[in-house]
Amino acid sequence: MVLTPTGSHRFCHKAMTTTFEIFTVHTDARYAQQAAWAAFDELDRLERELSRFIENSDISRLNNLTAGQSLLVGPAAFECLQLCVRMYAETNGAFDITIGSLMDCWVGKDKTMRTPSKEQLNLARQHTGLHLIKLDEAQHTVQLLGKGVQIDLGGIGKGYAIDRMAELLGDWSIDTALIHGGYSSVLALGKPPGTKGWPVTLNNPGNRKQSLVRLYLQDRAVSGSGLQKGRYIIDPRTAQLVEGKRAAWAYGPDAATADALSTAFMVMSPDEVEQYCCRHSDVLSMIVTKGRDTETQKDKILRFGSWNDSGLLK
Amino acid sequence: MSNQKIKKGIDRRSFLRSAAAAGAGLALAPKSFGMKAKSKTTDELNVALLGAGTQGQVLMDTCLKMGRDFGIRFKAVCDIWEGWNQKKVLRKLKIYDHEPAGYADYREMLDKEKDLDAAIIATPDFWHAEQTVACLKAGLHVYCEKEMSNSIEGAKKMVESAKESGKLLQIGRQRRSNPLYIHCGDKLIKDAKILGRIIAVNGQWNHPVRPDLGSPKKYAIDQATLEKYGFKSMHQFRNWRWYKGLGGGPIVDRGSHQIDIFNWFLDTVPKSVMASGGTDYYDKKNHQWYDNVMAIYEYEVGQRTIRAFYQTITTNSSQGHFEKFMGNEGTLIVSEASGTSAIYREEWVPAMKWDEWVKKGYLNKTEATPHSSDDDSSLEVRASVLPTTYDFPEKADKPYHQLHLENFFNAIRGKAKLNCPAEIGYKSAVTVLRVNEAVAAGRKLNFKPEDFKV
Repeated sequence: MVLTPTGSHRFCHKAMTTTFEIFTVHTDARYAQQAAWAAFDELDRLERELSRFIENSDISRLNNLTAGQSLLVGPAAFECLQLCVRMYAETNGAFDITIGSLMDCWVGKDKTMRTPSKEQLNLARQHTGLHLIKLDEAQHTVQLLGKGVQIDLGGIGKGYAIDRMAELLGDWSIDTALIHGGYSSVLALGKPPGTKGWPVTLNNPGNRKQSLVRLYLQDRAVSGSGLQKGRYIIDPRTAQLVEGKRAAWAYGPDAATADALSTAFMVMSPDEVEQYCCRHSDVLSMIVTKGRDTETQKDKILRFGSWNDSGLLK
Repeated sequence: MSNQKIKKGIDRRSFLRSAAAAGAGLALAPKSFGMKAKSKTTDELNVALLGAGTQGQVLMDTCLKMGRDFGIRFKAVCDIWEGWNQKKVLRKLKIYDHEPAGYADYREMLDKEKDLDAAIIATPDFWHAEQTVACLKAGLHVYCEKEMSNSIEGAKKMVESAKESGKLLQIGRQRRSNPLYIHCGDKLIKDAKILGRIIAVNGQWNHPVRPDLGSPKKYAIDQATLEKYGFKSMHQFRNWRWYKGLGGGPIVDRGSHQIDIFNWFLDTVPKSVMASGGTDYYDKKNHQWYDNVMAIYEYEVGQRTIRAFYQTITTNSSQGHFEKFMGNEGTLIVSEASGTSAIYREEWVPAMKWDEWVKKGYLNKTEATPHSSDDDSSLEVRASVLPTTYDFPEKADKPYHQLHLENFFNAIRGKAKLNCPAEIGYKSAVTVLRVNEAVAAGRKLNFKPEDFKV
């Protein structure tokens, strides 16, 4: 990260089991720090509303409901769920926050992989899908239509929080900032003076020295997903493990969308990702597919959307 | 410039409309037209929020999360920071179909709003006594945040005023309504005496260094308004907790909740307190109250002394916050922080003794079964098993303040008794506020029984 040496500040805060950072360029260091902490306070507040690991969060309260019950939730959880519904529809179910039951089939409590039976998978699939969540806009209530639905905002919560932090920084008249959550969700506000944007690199997870894209980020978000060691990704549509990809990135208008899409792009086929980017001109994607045999078949790097026209690339 | 741009890109309201249009799984129920015109039902309570800052917003959010059926109507929101706190809260309440009026001055609010049933007060501590007394006199029931007041005299006036008015005054020590705390205090400590003889108590709330609270430049309050309401500057308004005459410092902000648990679980008030504290990290000019404080109380229980230690450190977050009760037979650690409460049996105490409480449903037990079959072998030899652990049957799975607020509203409706009425709140206020006196005095201060009475 290259920053203008004068007036640049960097603040960090732990939340959502990762580290968030805010980079700003501002003449008043104390003011910039107070603004960053106000944003971190908002982040902590959102985590208390959205985390399924906090026993009285809105999401935990929803996960405790029985089929048919409904619950009034705060604006953050409601908006986030609205977004999830939209992303579920746009990705034909590839982005699904109710995948918990399916995950439990494939991954045991000791976090090792196991092979579930057809019956187990069929049962879990009955607890999966956004059609099981009904949002009532007038009442601000959420109703679970099936039993055993487990909501996990892990694929969108960081991005959503970053968007809200950006909004708050805007209220504080902070126009130039870069916010990231655990390096995987990044949003740029403005650009450092005298630059084309906040410089950001996307590297090949198979060979991190190989830079795939270097871009100048300005008023847009980029998010990355990958297959981390000991972690598994399941396609909610087929209930099967996804093994063909190393990583996926999504570039889009806001951090929540980018966050959700990078998760979905890990699951969607390259053709589906391509179609998505055709239909949404404000979204770009890059994926790295895994070669089946490193000797004969190499990893493939696929880019979708108008990367070259965007003037982003270095 | 760039902010404008991104706002366009992610304009939330228009986005949410398009999200609704996308529709999968969305129930597009039209706003019910009758809702706003609906007249007040007998059970519905009209509520005013005084102080719409961080804590006021938490309490308001919690009231909303009780659900519409609970029947709380926000009719007024009072905050001197009109451009920020007040605006934010009014906007949020509108989303949930409340139509409150906004006020800067609570006196104007009490003049104009004639159908209020209750007030929730979450203003800076030095305003509590005056506002609580005025609201009680105006015939409102009051839920007032801790600390009751920044002075013992102020807290005393509140208790007297509650008695005179015959209205309810609940103090916002929400742990008093927390099912986990109630279970630990009433069942495990008092009923089962599961810890045996309590020897010592230890509580703390430590949190990391942080910068002073700031405020967005474009939303500053004008100087005349600040001074009218007792603040010298925007900085003092945002950081009132650190100023003598406005707040009580970290021992009051943090300790108030936890030292109240000492009194509650030990079922008495202390005989004495000694304390040491100081502003040793921050700048004394804008951190008049002590940034670290350590206090030792002596309680007399059954002619034995129990010493209770409490510390609050504002520049190191080690181990966060908890209250720990240590008996000769076990240790109870209880905390509002999710999933950190625990109970341990002292090794010498036979497991059978606690099994009884497990059977009675006071505790849950996780244990490896001693035998796999019922033959006459002494032991089954196998892979190493984990030692027995205990857990609580009660969960705190509602927003932190929900049950305490519900208790207040239910008491207004005649369906409950207050869990933290003014007189109980006062005892803990005296217990806590005397710490600052003890620090200043530099010696042990003894409490007299009449200190806790109004």
